Amino acid sequence: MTRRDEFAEFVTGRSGALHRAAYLMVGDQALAQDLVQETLVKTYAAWPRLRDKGNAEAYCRKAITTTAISWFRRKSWSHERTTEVLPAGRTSGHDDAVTQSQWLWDGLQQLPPRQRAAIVLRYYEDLTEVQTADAMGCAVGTVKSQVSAGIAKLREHLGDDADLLPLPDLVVNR
Amino acid sequence: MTEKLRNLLHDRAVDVDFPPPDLDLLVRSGDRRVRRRRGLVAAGSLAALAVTAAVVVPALVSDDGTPDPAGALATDVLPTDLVSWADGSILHAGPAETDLGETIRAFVRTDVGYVVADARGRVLSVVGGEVTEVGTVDATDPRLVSDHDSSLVGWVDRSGEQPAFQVYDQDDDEIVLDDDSATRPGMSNLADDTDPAYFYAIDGDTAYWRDTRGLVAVDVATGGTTVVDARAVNGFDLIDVQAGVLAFYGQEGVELGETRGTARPLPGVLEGSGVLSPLATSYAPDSEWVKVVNRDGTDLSPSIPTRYFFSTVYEWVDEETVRVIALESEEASADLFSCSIATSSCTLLIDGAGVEGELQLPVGEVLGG
Repeated sequence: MTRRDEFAEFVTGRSGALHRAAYLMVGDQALAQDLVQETLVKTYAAWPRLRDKGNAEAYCRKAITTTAISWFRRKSWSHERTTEVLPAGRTSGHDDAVTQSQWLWDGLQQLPPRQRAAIVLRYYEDLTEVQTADAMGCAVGTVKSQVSAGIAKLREHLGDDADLLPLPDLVVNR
Repeated sequence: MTEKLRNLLHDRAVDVDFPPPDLDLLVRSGDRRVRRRRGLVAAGSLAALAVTAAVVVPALVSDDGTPDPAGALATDVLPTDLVSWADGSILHAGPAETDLGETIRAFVRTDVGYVVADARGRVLSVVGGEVTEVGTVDATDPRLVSDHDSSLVGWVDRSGEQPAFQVYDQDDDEIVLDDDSATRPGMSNLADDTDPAYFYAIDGDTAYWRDTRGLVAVDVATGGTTVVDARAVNGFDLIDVQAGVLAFYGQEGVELGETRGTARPLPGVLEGSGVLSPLATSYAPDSEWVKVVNRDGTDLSPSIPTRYFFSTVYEWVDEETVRVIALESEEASADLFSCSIATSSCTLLIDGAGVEGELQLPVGEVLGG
């Protein structure tokens, strides 16, 4: 199997999952496509060096995460400025799942990029803290603090619907 | 509750449809990226070279930003402490230049002079105005390796039946090591080939190359050999060595350490090529935009003007200073900067050093090759 064939097989099998994770990290469909394209180009360029091709997805996940964070730093392509304190959410109870989802989405997009990446990796990709730290290129302690801070901000944002989220001090440690 | 968060994220993600990626575009871009990393600059349109006949006299300043004293252009004595570049057959060093009469394919700087690989596959030593042929390399894809503060230069000689690793001491003007003891006929040349005979780096008196044993460290003085990584399969496994610290390319990025077993990932650095600082406290990957990180991953990148579309570090001057190549477009003549890590500021050294295909920098390989 040629390098191109191996890569084509990988892209066909995994690009959907990569796109979805990228979308959660950047919050914009077109940007997610750009991010995945950039990541796949990096992966193809690195293909001869990936001794174990089974690690290509881990390589991609790491590239998506670090590239997304660095894009935010360099290009500031988020029109919604991230804030230390998110705008207040609803104060009365709503059980409309669609509305809850939208509020959570809005809150997620307003988190700083590292907090958002940590939450996506932990709660969407279902990575362990060690795996998340590896993908983000940081220490496990940093993952804990980023997730905890992000969840706390989302709880503030959701107001009465905060029970959608784990308590910051109950964040699962694996 | 955690489950609710997970469900919301999953619901949101599956609501969006993404078209399948354009595989041909990815492969073309990836191949181009490999060429760019291999030689630092983008592979531009060769047609653009036809319109670059105008002679440009570069403006010269030293790395600290002060103007260099006016030197005699066309002198053939080249200083080794100023910015250097090659344009066609002319080797420039600060205000001095010398015409070697043959296209320069690649060159490196030592603490006593320059060593050049020309288009005929000759290895030439340039010291104090004298040019001496000292060896041969592959004419198409030459590779020379050197250290910041020594007179040693290494290459792979392919003139014999099987490749031979040679180390030349420019100070003594002699080949001090010639080793084909663990190569075999037909071993390939390029980093991304299978089973190459590949010269990775020289650090102090130790040469690092890949032969049939894998990645080995060879004491230039004694010939004593240590196998560093028997699993090294190609020219990407070792990126650079400085001050006894090796920059490996691991499964998920750059790893630094004194041995393969003790090497640890450099956080957030995925680029598979780059340069360590002389004391190995920092690393500058060949990225699309100038980037410098220290060993704990802290970003130390200096600021390059935003008019450039591509910039990357190609050389460390000292622990606090890097030299950077920057392009405003793929067809543009490259500008060379000196950048301070301490102040994050950059000073333009050479405005228009040359265009892709003619410009070479002291990295030992063909730019855009």
